[in-house]
Amino acid sequence: MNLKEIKKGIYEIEKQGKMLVPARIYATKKLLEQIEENAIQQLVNVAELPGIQKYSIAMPDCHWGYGFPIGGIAAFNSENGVVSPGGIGFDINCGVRLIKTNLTEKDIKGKEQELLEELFKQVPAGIGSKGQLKIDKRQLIEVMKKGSKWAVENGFGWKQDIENTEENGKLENANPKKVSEKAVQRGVKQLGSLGSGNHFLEIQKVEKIFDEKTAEKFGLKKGNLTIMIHCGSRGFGHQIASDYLETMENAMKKYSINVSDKQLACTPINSKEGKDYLEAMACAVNYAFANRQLITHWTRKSFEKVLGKKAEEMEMKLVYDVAHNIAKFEEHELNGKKEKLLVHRKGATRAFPAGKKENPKSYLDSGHPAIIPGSMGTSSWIVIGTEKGLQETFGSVAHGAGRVMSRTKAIKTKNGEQVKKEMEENGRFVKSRSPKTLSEEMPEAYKDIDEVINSLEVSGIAKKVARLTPIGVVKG
Amino acid sequence: MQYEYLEHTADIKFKAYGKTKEELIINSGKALCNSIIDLKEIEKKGKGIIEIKAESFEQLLFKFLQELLFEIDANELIFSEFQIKKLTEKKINEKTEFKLIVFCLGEKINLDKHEIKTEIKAITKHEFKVEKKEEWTAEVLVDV
Repeated sequence: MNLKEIKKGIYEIEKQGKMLVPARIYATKKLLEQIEENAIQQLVNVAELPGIQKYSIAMPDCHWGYGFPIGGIAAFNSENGVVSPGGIGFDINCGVRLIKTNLTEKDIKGKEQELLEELFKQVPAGIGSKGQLKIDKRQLIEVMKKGSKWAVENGFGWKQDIENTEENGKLENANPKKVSEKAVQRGVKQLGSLGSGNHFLEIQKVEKIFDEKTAEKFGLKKGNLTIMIHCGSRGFGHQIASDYLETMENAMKKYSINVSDKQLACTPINSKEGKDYLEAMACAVNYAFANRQLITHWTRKSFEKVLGKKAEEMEMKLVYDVAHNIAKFEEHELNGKKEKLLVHRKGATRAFPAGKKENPKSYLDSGHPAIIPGSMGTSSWIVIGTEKGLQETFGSVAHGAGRVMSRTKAIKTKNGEQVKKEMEENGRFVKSRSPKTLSEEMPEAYKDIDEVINSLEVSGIAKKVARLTPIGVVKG
Repeated sequence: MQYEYLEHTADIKFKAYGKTKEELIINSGKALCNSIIDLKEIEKKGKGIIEIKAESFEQLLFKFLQELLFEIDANELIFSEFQIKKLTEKKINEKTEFKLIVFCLGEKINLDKHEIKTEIKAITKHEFKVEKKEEWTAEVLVDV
């Protein structure tokens, strides 16, 4: 594949063969070299999908995924384009939220481990955990329709939390009738849980500010503690994705869609299958928003219990909640005209700059915070999108570090106890369900997050606001 | 060998072996369960039944693993042994119909005794491969 650096940090594969648009990778040379051939092939395959606009786009943390690469963006014309569950991922609305506090490290000195233990107790990890929450199917339907609002109405959080969540914590087109009984059964049990793999809950410190004015707007102050929550729609969303991949695989023939890779199962946006999927996906999106909202509430409760202060007093405000596995209808400018597109972001974070109407009220004149988590034990970042990003990547940036080492190899390299010890030697506390997870998620298994962020800045699609460094991590 | 785990950057990939189709189904089931909880920790206290119909053996195995994951994730059950009660292949008007009934032996997930190694989000068709050479093999990538 012939990759040409067309501008600093932007590589392009020109349109060829069945491609309808060129493919683009936003990365520094160092990260480009770490992207697998297979992932680049997938990026090219995506460029063949009907109705794709502008470019098939990959972020610097891109790697090989199911059909679409992880760390990819593809926007489709809403009239003649397609929707593909593989372009969103199995974990629908996997995303990140950030809570700020007015605490500093000395306020929790000596209580770090106790805080992690309490968080671990209050926030169920997942399968087999005795959850705090018991809901029935009727309540689950409300969750599907209302998202974060359901959680706040039921006492799990503050009204302001809703305003500072992407889409106000709810997609409007959710239709519970399009969700299978199997998804419902998985969903009832798992609402309000963290899950495993790379999901986490982390206590962090604002280590460095790069843009004072914007950081102040977001309520971030050097030295203050923040809490980051990374999780998604749990078994509920995974089941919806699996169900609709099968539906679309079977339906594709009917619409004469011919693709290079059968994993790119898709149907027209306006087909019955396409609409059904989008309505079911919206249910999972809302479920995930509610899930992170519940965890936010228990996080505040844990801090209250251990530190003996009210959450309000600790100013534990939600800075923002943003998805990185989602498809949404958005208006973007194409050839000087505003057009409605269905933007798929799979392992990519929306980053709208100032002026976009989708920004919450409080961030209209700054753009919303795009939250990019690092791997366990490394920095996480807050960035903002730029006008250039809006023009070139549909206002999207990276979503994390991206793996470079397999789990099997990670386990052979270091055991969980060793990883824990090393983290503790660096002053980082950790609490996890299994030592194996710690080994699998060790920092060396991931790309360098700081290099990922540099890629975004070099190519001009994002600007650094703040770097957050971990103090304690809870792993599911 | 019953099964082994292969290298994969982001997810878990396993390869199961079997002299027969039945053995392949059993070993694939074990590989899936063992990626979540070590089989040694699982007692055979109870029985679950999985019934599948499919148009090909490949699809049958895929659906079996999906159904098994559903039992684990929705009903919080985990299994260490599988018994094939029925595996038939019938031709009906040009089409082949495979039928499978499996008894799954195991117990309820209990965090006091079971260590969860990971949770599995989905069985994927990414690099999914079922082959018969000297023996049957299945390569399965699961999303974690």
